[in-house]
Amino acid sequence: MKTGWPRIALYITIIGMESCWLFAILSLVSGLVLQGQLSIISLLALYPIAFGINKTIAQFKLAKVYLNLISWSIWAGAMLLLVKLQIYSSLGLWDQSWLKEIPVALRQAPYDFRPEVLLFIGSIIIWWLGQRLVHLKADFPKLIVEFQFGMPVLIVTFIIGSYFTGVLEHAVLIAVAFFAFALSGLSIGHAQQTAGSISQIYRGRWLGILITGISLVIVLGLLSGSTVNPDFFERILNTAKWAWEVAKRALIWVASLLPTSPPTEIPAAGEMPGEILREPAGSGIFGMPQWIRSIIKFALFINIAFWCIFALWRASGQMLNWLNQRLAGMAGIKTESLSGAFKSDVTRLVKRILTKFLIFLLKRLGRKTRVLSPELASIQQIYCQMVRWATARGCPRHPTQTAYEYQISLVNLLPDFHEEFSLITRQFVGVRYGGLTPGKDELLNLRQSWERIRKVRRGHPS
Amino acid sequence: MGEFAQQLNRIATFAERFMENVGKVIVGRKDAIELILVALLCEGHVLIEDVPGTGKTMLAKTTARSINCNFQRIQCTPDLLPSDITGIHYFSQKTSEFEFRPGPIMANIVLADEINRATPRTQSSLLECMQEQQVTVDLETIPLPRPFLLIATQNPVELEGTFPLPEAQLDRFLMKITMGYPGEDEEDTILKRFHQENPLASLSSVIEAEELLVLQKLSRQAYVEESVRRYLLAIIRATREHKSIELGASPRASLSLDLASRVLATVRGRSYVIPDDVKYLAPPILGHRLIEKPEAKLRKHSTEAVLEEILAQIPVPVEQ
Repeated sequence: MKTGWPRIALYITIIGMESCWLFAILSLVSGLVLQGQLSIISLLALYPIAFGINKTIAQFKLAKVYLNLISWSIWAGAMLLLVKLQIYSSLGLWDQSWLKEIPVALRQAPYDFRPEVLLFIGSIIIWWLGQRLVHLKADFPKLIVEFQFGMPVLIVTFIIGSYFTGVLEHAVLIAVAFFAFALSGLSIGHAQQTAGSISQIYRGRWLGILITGISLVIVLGLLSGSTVNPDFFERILNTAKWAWEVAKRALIWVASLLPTSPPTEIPAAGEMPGEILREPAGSGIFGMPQWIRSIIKFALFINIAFWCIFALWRASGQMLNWLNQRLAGMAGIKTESLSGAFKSDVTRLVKRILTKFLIFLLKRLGRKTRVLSPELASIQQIYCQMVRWATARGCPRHPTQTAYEYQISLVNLLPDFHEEFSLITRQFVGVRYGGLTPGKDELLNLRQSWERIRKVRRGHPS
Repeated sequence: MGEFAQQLNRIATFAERFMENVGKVIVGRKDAIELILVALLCEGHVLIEDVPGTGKTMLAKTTARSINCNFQRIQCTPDLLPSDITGIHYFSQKTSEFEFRPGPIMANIVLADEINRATPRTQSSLLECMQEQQVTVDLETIPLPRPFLLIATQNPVELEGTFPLPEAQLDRFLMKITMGYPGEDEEDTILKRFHQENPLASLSSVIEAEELLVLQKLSRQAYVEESVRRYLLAIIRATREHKSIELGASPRASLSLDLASRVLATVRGRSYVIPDDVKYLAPPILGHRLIEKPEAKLRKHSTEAVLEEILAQIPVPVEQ
């Protein structure tokens, strides 16, 4: 096989793309199960090593069985080295007690997911990918397939990650890196072919164009990642509100020009309930019970997920059609159709995710035997809103923090609201663990406290 | 639970008076006093472990003095015999019959000072008393008076001439309390307070033994929500599965943690248990029951550190 530097670059881009989604998945698992104890980067460093070693081994004129045996023996050594360096680095060089821990960890994996298990499974996958890459032809169609596969995987991982705070902290960087690798790989692959604008008049300068393109993608990605945040959306919302106010005034002015009917007697307005009393306790949407709301929420989630996948599907289809049209005249170029293996894989994946989610939801619904009264549900809602509010302000609740421990963090965040935090936490604890029903006055106090806290803008506690 | 909520005041008032009374002698260490109060209401035995001179015996004596009941002290030494604790049958020349002379264990509160200095044979004579609250002497089983509480002290540094307590006996102690050195201000208060006379001499009791029995029954009625119970069980299970632990917490430990959490909740004026109660009580109740693996011992990975690690890993049930 010809191994010019463009082909090496293609291999690097494939490794890069696969590393991005692997990094996202491994970070998610590590963050959820192991509280981010492991360094995923060092685990991913195994990928180029696996590729290099397998490529070297493939040069030997040996039977496939022996080649595999050599390859996987090296994997075992590399995996042990990773375990030693990442988990048992404090032990002495000749202390072998950690070796016994690996089979124990694997045996206990169904009950206790330990870092050793993630390193074991992760290194197997990475080694297999490295081995697979040796036998792949790195060209434009292959890059398209890699992009097709990697993008949905990344999106699904980000969607799952968005449900857990602080697990996927580098999502923007991962996405930027993935697209940078994908775009550079696709353009190199495209330029390798005989057709295409870069391969013709700009062939001599395509490397410069490529580097500029990648730099632009990275810079724009980082810029949008740092700009698009809750503040940014709040500003957009404020602008929209302002525009709506202007439009409303204009309409009122236009309406004032029209002839008016004689004034009618307006009945005296009753006492307006406060904003917080407008929503009855725990009733939410049209006074529905909590369990119906859970089902509606689930249905909405399914609906959104369906439309996202459908949109992705349509976009991929359009892209492929366009590519097919563009490449129609090129010899030796093959593109996989969406109705092929990829379609069945995606369908199977979606089905499996939905089934698992449905089972999880049914289990949860079955376990919730205690039906909360509207007052109690309302207190829980307020507490959850407070947690989300504080999380958005950089004070998330650690899963191992109790409500009172978290209260200390909240008071540190806004010392002036000590009383309010204390009241909400106390009432929540009484409801959550004691099933205590608060009086109307207490409930009102609680809501007013929450309103006072909610009105505090970021960095302006007053 | 409504009636129970009314009874909570009785427990809370007693708790306040008890802590205030013990606080007249023991300076600072409110956590240790609260733990011993929990043990008292659980009718569970307490092992106080610390270096000499930190107030172990004083805490035990003050606790006994705060309750109007029988108190006995056993100074454990290597030549102490089981019969010195349980009592013996002796021949009475007056009645020409064998009569039973009760040992110091036949009291409401017994202080076994420096328990690890007694031989294993003598230590094991306490097993039946601690678990079944009865004593068998010459085939005769005699129930111990109620309430019954054994407070044992031991010194962890001086190991010469001592016999470490066996696991079976350690498991029978509800909790292990450590005292620690007082702070500078606390020590200053100690100097001032003990300058003229020992405040223990003038200490009065705050509760009768009968009343204590009633409160013991009441304090067990606190409600434990299912997720809190699951949290407690997750901690127990984690001790059994931890890589550094050879022997995890026993079912007796989970029962003890459950009971002590209920009692602590009532002492703090609540009719229900919260995860904070479980988290607070896990180290004193589970710490002495865990046995580390040899390699963990070599790495100086103490059971306290293991428990801290476990508590820092198990998610607390907060949102539903």
